[in-house]
Amino acid sequence: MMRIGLDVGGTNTDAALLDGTRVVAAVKTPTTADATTGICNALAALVERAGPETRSARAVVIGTTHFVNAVVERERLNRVAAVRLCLPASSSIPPFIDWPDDLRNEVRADVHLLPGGYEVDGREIAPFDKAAMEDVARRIADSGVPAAAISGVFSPLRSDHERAAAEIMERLCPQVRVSLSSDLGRTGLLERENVALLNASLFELARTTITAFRAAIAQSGLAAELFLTQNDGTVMPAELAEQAPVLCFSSGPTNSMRGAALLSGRSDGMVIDVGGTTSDIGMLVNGFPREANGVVEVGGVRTLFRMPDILCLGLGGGTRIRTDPFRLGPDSVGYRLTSDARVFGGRQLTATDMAVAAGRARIGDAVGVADIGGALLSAFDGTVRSMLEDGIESMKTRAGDLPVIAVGGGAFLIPEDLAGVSEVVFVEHHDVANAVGAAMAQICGEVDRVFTDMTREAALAAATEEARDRAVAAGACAQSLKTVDVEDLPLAYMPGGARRLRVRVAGELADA
Amino acid sequence: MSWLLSQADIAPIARGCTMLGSGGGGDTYCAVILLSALLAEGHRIPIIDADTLDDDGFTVNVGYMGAPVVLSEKLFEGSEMVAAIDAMRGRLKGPLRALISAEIGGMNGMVPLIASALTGLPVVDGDGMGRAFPRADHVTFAFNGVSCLPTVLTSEAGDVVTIERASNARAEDIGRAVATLMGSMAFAVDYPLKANEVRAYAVPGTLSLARSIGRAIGEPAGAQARLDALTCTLRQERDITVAQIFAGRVSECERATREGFDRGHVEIRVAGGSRSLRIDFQNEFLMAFEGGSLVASTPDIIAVVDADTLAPLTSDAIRYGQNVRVLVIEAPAQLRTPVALDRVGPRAFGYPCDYLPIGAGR
Repeated sequence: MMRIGLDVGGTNTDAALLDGTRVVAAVKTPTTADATTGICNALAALVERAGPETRSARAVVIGTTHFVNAVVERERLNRVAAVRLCLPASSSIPPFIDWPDDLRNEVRADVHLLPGGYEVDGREIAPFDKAAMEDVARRIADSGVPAAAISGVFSPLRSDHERAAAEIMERLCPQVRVSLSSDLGRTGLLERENVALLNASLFELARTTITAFRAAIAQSGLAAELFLTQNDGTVMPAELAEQAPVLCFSSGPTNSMRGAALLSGRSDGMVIDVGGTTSDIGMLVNGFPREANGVVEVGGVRTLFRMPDILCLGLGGGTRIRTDPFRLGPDSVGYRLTSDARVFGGRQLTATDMAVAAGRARIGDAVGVADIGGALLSAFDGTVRSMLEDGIESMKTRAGDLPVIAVGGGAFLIPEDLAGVSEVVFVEHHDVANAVGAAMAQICGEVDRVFTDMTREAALAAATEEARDRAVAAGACAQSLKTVDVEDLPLAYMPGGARRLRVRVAGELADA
Repeated sequence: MSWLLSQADIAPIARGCTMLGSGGGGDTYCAVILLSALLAEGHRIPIIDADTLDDDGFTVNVGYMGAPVVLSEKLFEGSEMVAAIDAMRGRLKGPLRALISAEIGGMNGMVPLIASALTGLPVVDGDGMGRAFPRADHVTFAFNGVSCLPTVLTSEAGDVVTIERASNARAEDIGRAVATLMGSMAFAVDYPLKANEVRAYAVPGTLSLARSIGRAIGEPAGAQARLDALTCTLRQERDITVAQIFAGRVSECERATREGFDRGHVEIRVAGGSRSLRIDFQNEFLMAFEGGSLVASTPDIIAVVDADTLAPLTSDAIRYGQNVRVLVIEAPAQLRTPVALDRVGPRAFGYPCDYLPIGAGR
């Protein structure tokens, strides 16, 4: 099955055409201010490179930073009403309490606390109050707010109350789009609720962005189905992405890691993606990025949901070098690399210039760096080495040497022999690894909740079945599903052998 | 010295409480945001020295008992604190003058401050543990023969359960069972103390100590400056010994739940070297061994901190590869008596050895 992957970054829009696991063609084009034009340009360039067979692609998979940027820039967000099912508990710490003021002012509409939610053992804190929720739904409808987020205490354990509230919203104010905390986040009420609130604040942007993506595909003469890449390295149909834009937050580094897995033929190891300004380090486990265990801040908001564990270092191809005394970064010439760097006739000394001077890369004109001496080169080499070795070590989960897969436009900056590393693998198409990763188009299903009064084996079987059902519902082919991640956390102080299990499965996109 | 809690105190106290938690005691985040909101609403939270307590009244011990994970979902409500304190007030044979923290380590170190804002009662600068321990009867008041009765347990649902007659150990068992029914978390008020008992048995000054620790590691730039500030503050202000016993990367972390506690061990290794430190934990870090020999033990506070920021890490947040330092803070005198060591020394946790005070064999 032919698939097209597109990665829309701040500087470049990369595109790759894959047939099965083979990269047929790949291109790099500049990102444009409006998404449609940039994607049309990239698709046109891909058609030119790969020929008309490009048009037979069944899926176009897009990785985009649109949604996370909107949160960080506090722009293009819509207002959100909050409904929390918790009373008589949790009322002292209401929704939005820990948001940065500017973002809260942009997003917060009315906040409603209602009876409901569950104890850790699944009992109701209080019965769901249908009449009270109907009243809240009418008030939300009257307020004219376009979106609402519903959260409930221990909803990852039992989501019945959240769902009952959502049904009432659907019946009494179908024009208000709703996001449920139990669909998105993990145990940790405030952080999971924050995920649902952020998600709901992106509904309008998600709709316009996805409409623009669809228009670009149609204008390019393709009949392909649209998918968006998500934080865990798998993809979701555009209709689902419209419901869950937060799941697209970290698609950049994630896509690179997935692409690195395919291009290197390895499923485990460390991936370093060296871009223009930064390097992202992440660990591949079973071909997917390892997930972050704890709280991840997005635009100053604490969140706890499916995000990759990524370490970002200030080392990129455009990172500036000072010589007296030697200092690496932290600033970068960014997209001006091809005009400002010495090897391109500019006046700024960058990491790329150092690599050319050291003979590690052949880029531009080496005459521009002929004056770089051995002392400077060894200072640069030492700094880069210790930065990367330190980063790799802190991302490992156990002792021992690991292979490193080097991708990104600045992959040449990675030394071939690093401490703690068994080998450094350089791959073809490394500069478009993110688009290749997007085109891999795997579908996943995840479960994360507390199981009580069950043996470990029974709990694991129940969790796996739920995860598989979710994957199939998202479009995966059931026969191809594999378990990619299991985490088992016994819970202290709780009776009944309680354990929190997280199980994730992934598989191929099912044939239509 | 008495003082009023200010916004600027909250973050340092939270850092300090986590440090004194010796890896346990639960997350302080929700306490921080709730306290900040309460102060912003104009609540006054007075912190008083035990010496200023009136002789005729009572001080009560307050804190949550149960599974910390529950407080990440069922957040503090506040009404449970007020209900428990009111119920206790009605049973005391004298006026209720103040609150004191059962355990300064972790979240419970900050809970009395919230209860103070809601009830108007001042908080005594001190606590019953000087750190965090797994059980509620691991308090200095119990070591000195004070009864925990009456013990009042409440939930946000409005339940009030009072234990009128039981030994301290039985009350602990009954309290745990009640907490389980209340959703694996209950707010507890117990150990009504006369002023002379607070002065004689409480670990004094631990709230201001937490603030000093938090300021020392939060303000200067650079790891060494922070460590120097911490050492200097503890020695000069309090005559407390603190020592860095190890620095390296986490090379192993094993955990399992047994008998309701999160147990396990952490191994930390010097980069490229052969030296390694093993720390055993049971919610809290209890014992540290280097090359098989004991180098630090409970009740001294063993803190695993981020190598650069010196931010303390709880035992459940330890992961392979973290770059850490291990600091040991001398236990307060109240935990070093023969009776206290019998309850919270190494043997109480099943180790066949005696307490090794930091600074003793070094």
